[in-house]
Amino acid sequence: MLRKKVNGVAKGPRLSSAISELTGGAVDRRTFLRNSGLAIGGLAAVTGLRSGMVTKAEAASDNSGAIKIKKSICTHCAVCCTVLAEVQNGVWIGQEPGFDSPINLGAHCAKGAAVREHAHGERRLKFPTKLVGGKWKKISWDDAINEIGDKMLAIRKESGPDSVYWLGSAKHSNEQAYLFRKLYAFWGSNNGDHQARICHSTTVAGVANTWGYGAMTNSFNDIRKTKAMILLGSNPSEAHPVALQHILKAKEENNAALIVCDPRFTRTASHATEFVRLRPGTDVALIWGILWHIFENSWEDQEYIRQRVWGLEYIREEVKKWTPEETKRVTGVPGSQLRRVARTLATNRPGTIIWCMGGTQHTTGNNNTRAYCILQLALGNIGRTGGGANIFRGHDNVQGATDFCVLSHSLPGYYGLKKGSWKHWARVWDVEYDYLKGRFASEKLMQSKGIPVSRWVDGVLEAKDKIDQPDNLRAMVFWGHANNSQTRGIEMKKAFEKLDLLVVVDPYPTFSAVMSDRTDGVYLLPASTQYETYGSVTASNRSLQWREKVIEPVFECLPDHTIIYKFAKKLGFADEMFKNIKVENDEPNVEEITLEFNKGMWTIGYTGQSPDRLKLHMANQHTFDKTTLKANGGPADGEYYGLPWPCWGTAEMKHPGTPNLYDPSMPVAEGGLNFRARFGVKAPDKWGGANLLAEGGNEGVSYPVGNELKDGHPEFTMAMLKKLGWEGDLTADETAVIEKIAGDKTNWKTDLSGGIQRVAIKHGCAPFGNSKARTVVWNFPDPIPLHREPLYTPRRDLLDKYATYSDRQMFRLPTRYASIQEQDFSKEYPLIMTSGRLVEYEGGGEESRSNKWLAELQQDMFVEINTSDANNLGIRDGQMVWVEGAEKAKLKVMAMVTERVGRGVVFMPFHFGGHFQGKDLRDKYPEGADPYVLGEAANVAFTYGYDSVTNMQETKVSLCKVYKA
Amino acid sequence: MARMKFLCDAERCIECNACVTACKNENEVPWGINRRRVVTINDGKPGERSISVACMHCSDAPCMAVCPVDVFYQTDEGVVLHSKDLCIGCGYCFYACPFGAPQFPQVGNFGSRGKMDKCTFCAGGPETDKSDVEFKKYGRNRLAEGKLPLCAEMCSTKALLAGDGDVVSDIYRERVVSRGFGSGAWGWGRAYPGQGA
Amino acid sequence: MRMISFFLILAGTLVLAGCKDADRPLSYEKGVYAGKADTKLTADQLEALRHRGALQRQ
Repeated sequence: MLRKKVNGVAKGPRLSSAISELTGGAVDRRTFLRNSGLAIGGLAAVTGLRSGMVTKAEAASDNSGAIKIKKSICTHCAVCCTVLAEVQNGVWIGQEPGFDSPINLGAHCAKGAAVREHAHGERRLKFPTKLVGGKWKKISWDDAINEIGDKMLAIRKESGPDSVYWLGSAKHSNEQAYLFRKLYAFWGSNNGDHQARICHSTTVAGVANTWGYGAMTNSFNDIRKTKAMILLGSNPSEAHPVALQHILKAKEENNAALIVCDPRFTRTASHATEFVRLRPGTDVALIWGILWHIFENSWEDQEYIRQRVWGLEYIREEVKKWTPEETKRVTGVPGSQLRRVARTLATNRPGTIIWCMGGTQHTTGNNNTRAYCILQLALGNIGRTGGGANIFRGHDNVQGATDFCVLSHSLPGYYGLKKGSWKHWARVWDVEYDYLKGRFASEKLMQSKGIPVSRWVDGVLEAKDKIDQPDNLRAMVFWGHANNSQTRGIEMKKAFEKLDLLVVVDPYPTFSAVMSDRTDGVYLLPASTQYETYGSVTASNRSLQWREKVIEPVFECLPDHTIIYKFAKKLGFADEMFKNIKVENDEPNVEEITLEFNKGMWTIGYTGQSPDRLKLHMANQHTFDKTTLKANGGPADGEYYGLPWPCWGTAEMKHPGTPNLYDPSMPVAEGGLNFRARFGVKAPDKWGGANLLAEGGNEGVSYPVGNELKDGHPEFTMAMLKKLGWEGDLTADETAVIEKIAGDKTNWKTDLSGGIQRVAIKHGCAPFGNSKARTVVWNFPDPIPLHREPLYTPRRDLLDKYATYSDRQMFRLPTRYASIQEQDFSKEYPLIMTSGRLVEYEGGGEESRSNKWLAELQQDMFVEINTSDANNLGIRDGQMVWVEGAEKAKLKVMAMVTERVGRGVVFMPFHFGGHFQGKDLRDKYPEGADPYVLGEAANVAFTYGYDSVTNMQETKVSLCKVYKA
Repeated sequence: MARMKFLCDAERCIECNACVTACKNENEVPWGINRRRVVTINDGKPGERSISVACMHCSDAPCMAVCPVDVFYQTDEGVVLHSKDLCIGCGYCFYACPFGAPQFPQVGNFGSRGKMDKCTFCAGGPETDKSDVEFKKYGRNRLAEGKLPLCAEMCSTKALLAGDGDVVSDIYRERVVSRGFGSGAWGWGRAYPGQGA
Repeated sequence: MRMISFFLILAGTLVLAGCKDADRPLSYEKGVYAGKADTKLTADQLEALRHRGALQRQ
């Protein structure tokens, strides 16, 4: 029932709802919550107990066959909790808490505690299925691959390789993600992407351009050492529940402040020490409003800034404009509260910042993420244990899939798409650059960013002469990717119908299978889940964990890497693509894939994490410290759990991994670091031309402990080694490899021997140089992060000062800004619409809504509406209403009248699908594969709007109206 | 003899429902039956708190007192269990229980009640330990495997604790001490006005 | 008539036979649990449970 959020009881048998009412009443009447602890039963009388443990063997049931424990990693969020699966005779019979895991210490959320349901697989897609004349028809794998492949090759011939879109997944393992990226490189297009585009692309762009890497700097565990936490647009109680274990620990033991800034009083906010309710889409204004107090009171860390931060004077100029009055006018937050927040952050250091989709999914997402970074830099909190920017990733392997750049704008390891980048990977893949070039329509398209997932609809529908590729998209492959995570439902339906070919590769049919009125040309291929295969996965904190296979693939499902191989074979490039990877029965060897990417991922240090080392960590989880993540004794002594990247050099070099990025208090060889020298050594003249390298000569602050250069330095090249006279430290083999690649021009990123990294680290230096963080990103549309109103804003009065960008061409497509914002939608659509997660579901939700234990807990799609708005509109709690977005897509959902959202704001969860504009599409699913729970997809009603750097969609703020259905 | 108890720390409970699905998973509890659930008060408002509720295995259990056919028994560790062989599905225990713990599967077309089902503290029931028949009737017997109820063992924030009373209260006491006086523990505000939540 | 009484007797016998239930206690004493006995936990099991309890300390 909708009331679930009050009493947690599913609707269904009438008795259970009667029970729920009674329970709720009984609880209140008896006020048994008088104490925080609710203890039942008398105190135990201690008796003289003999010691001794009951062993697992004794626990075996009557069934023959020993129970084996398989260790996997939860496939829901990027906390990446260890799952202990009990398997008997090949059947997954139980789940046990993985107490040894340093990340989750046995804990799970509702989703993690229910993953065994996968093994039941009642609602899974069971065999390859094809839509013929509006009916689903079972076909064989061979026929499916042949038919799809023939169609793709025909499209390739007619329109070029860029007309096929390869949409990958944050649900791939690292090995699968890497292979998938390789697949569309060998296919000859950059039209591929995955969920990172629409969750944290603005984070990666903003953060990497500030200090080097775009990842979470510290770890969940490190939060235990913090003294203050500020969360922006992040609701870990529902999105990353196990992270709360560490957050609450800091709150309890360090008395750390927990400041939650959100338009919604979230479940995380209910545990906060300070709740700041801001208007959606005003994050930059809010941060500048906080910084105004920090600068006004000189609370910034001036020494830290002098040594490690560049360009803050430009920020000061901008921040000066954000007086408490102006901040309140824009964000709605009173100055007195922000002063308190600023003082709390200033007096409780180190403090950490945590943000999620609430900050990233905006047309100004990259501005938001940079503003967050700048706040932390001003406080001197980055590169410190207990500090950092703890950016929680969403899907289990969205960090890994991002690192392998299943994206439209880069090659694995963020190498980019330049000629040199392709040449590097050609060397790793052991193929000629010219071969790869020949696969593409042109060298220009080979080096130009592809269409991002947020815009695939435009790639299909936009006029051909307005897109920067030979033809429109004609085939879409949705591989582990929900379509209901993308916006503009009405246009999306049209796009689905215009496609020549739609392929869904997923354990479930997904909403993509049923949303459109197509009657032919749809293929559904059953993929196995990660519990039916094995390989590595990267948690949000950059730790890699190795999954074991729990069960064999169910029904006719196949793991992603096998399906990738089948496609490569059909499309005619399997021999080149799998040149150095053993393939057996169409299944590529997983360990050999890991070892292959180990050979190429030098930029971010995915080179030291060999399968053997990762397996050793999984087997010895109990030896790692639960706070520092460092092994204390045991076979992995001194290493950090999961070898968090960068794990420099080759596996033989035994780098321990980097627990906290940019922390100079330790030698680089032991996991220390400094900011990356990524933007040259000197600022452009337009921006003052000052030195960008770290300065101050202060060991442990401006350079890592043991750095022989004792200050800032550029990134390492062979020429630099020679200049320093360190080239003699290279082995003959290393020198030979370096000479062959590019001689003196070979750098730490392209040196396949790892010698340059090894020698730099031997002398205490970070291979990527030692620079200051930059607060002004001169190559971005807004070098200094600015507040700009959302495209669909209700605040027309602010547009003279805070208007959006001009329209422009981006990612091969015309991209609109001003031409939308100029129109006033706010009269007809007066309510701000925002979205977010529910703890029971994840992503597009097809998987979790097909899990009966989860589905029972959330059976209705709903919209949260403030009591006052509801009363004004005559809407009662539990009533069905229409939510109509500003682009006229309508959703029929249940109203939940609550104070959780403020006045003028409505909230919807985005996990539902299966209804479209009031119509239940259950009949359209293949028989037996419809999820238990269906509902309107919130994003159908979300509107145009894309980030100015990454084309992240604006799904955290739009406009709508709500009326009775 | 040690006495088993549940304790739910409302300062830690985030209503993630892991306890609910862990219970379903471990005991294969069917749709519509909720041996455990999370109750939230002040939903969406300041002061919102959640707590996980199941059978509390009362020392002086009202269900036992009212049952007309005496299906209940209490183990030496204080776990309240019942025999489904004896239960007549009358529902008296449901009226007596202050926590709404007893659940009745709907059988037949007239909403008639099946045998009562409730949280067993993962201790199975009156059948051979770890046997299939015990599992099918009552769920997993984790205590016999030397393991505690899965709801508590899997709790995302270790809000829900289970086990030997003195072990559980030790853990909780340590937390209260580290939170410190008035650090936000539930009820402090009432006991000491003006000194925190 | 004889046929009818025969069937009645037969039916009665069958109905009564249906009442036979070896597992169900036939006597009832108020307040006394008369169902199957459960197995008691051993000292080893209890000790294991105490250890297990400590794992929740976080």
